[in-house]
Amino acid sequence: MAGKTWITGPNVEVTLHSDDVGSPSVDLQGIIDTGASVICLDSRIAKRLGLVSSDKRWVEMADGRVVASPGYSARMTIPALGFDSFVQVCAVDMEYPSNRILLGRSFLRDYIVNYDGPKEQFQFHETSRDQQYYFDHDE
Amino acid sequence: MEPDSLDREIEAYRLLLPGIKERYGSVWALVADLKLIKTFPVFSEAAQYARQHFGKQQVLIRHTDETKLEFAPFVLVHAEK
Repeated sequence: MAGKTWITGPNVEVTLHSDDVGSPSVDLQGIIDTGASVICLDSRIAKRLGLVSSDKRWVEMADGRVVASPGYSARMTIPALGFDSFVQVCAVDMEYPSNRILLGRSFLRDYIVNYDGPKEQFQFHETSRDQQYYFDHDE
Repeated sequence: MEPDSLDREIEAYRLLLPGIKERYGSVWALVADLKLIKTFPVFSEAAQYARQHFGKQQVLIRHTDETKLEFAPFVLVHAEK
């Protein structure tokens, strides 16, 4: 049986939810970025949502700067993709406030994605491939 | 970044990592109170477990295949109006 397919533009509406019950969520502009290895956002947003960091990473930016970046666990919803789950996001101290969130390969891992250049559309295909397909095992 | 309790969890994780990889392979590891709590096949399960059992306590969730450096290459060009 064929899996689900979604079609989106390069930008999608994303909502990040607070860890605190009753706190407001934040609506963001998601940008599909196959050049990014992670999901990445402005650190102001993580602070506004009261997220608790669950890792620390080094992230190389487009201009070659390497910056320290806390990783946060956050519930993310993307209606255009029927997505509602917890993800790890890297927060970067950006010079200017930004409501954009890069949807990098750590997010795209769960889909097979085709890009239609003339239409500027992405086709997301659900995949049933399990973790073994994506990560090398030592065993 | 300022050193905090997460740094201690990361240091504990580094010491635990060879054993975690040997026993569990390619997984998301949840480390809290300097101990491996549980491993998970997907991040969302680890995050929800951490929320349910540790609340706002600082814990580490990291994949055993993590790379040392992540990339966030984003450039947006606007035409002049």
